[in-house]
Amino acid sequence: MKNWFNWLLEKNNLPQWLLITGFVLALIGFADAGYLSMKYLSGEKPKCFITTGCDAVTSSIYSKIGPFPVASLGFIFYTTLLVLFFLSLESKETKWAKYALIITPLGFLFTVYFLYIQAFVLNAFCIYCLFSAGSSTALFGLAMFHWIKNKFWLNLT
Amino acid sequence: MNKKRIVTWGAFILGLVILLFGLAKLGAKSSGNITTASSTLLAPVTDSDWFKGSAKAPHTIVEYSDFQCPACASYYPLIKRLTDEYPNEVRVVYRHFPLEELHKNAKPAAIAAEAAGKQGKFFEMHDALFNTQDQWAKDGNPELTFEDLAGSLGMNGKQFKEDVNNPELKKRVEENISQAVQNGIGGTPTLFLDGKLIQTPNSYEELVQLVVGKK
Repeated sequence: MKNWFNWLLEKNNLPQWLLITGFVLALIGFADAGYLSMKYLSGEKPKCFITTGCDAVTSSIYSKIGPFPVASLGFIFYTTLLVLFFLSLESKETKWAKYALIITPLGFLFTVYFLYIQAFVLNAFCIYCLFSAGSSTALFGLAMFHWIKNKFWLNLT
Repeated sequence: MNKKRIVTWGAFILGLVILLFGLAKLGAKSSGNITTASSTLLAPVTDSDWFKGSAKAPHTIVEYSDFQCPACASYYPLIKRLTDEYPNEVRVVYRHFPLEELHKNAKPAAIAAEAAGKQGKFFEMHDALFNTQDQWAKDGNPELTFEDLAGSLGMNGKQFKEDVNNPELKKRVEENISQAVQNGIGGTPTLFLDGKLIQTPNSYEELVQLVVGKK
């Protein structure tokens, strides 16, 4: 396990296109989660709009995990990824981006959970939540692409 | 850390702060969608409007609402509490604005409320519709639920069934819809206080302060 983790960080330099793509995806997630967080924190009462529907998702009980708004947790997640990708681009040390790739499965797991909640529990979707789902899935896809390309399973022992 | 790195990081952080600031402004503008609405109530309150509270109250709230709207269902207890606690300070006028494209059962619900009004139970039906919203909102045949509600409120079931098919009641609801459209209203609930459009207060305390605290 330790060998594999070391391999994840040390071997196989990340190509520039991957760093830039990761940065852009994290920036999209950052903007999206930032917008949702701000709307949540402003405490405004939800409304139903002719054009965009009702705020059924963002005002549901599922919009919080304990005392923490999901939008804010997402914001922290994307900010972390954004800073790590930027650090790699700026310092040219790819290890920071590798840390970012390692945490993408966490975002993906939450994405799957919240998509399930929207589709089967709330029967309603929130467009901004779907954008975030898209970014986190794409980021996870980026990580998987890199790991599979470099045959990570060979280093599992 | 050299100068170039400081500048690079400074620009990055500043860029993010500007982005967040822009998003905050965007959020404030798009929320409520009321920027498209006229800030003045165009259709004055008349004797045919449904209201709670004293007719002589110094303040009037006109609410455009949709019985199938979850936001309206969560907001109505605040309005109800306001009229219960301050009946001589404020009257609240209820007007229909079913968002038909989103909520297929909203207009039938509005007509059911009007039919209940014919038997003097408009606000009882109004409360019952919001309280049971989950039960009939996605129902393919909500009329049966509305008839059950009418029965539970002690109404004459036969009379109720006749009244829901009365074209006059449908016309009343459509008049409210037409008023809302002319006023440029884009969502529900939308509130006017003494003829002026207001942002929906976030809490009961804010609502009281806004209405009763108003001189």
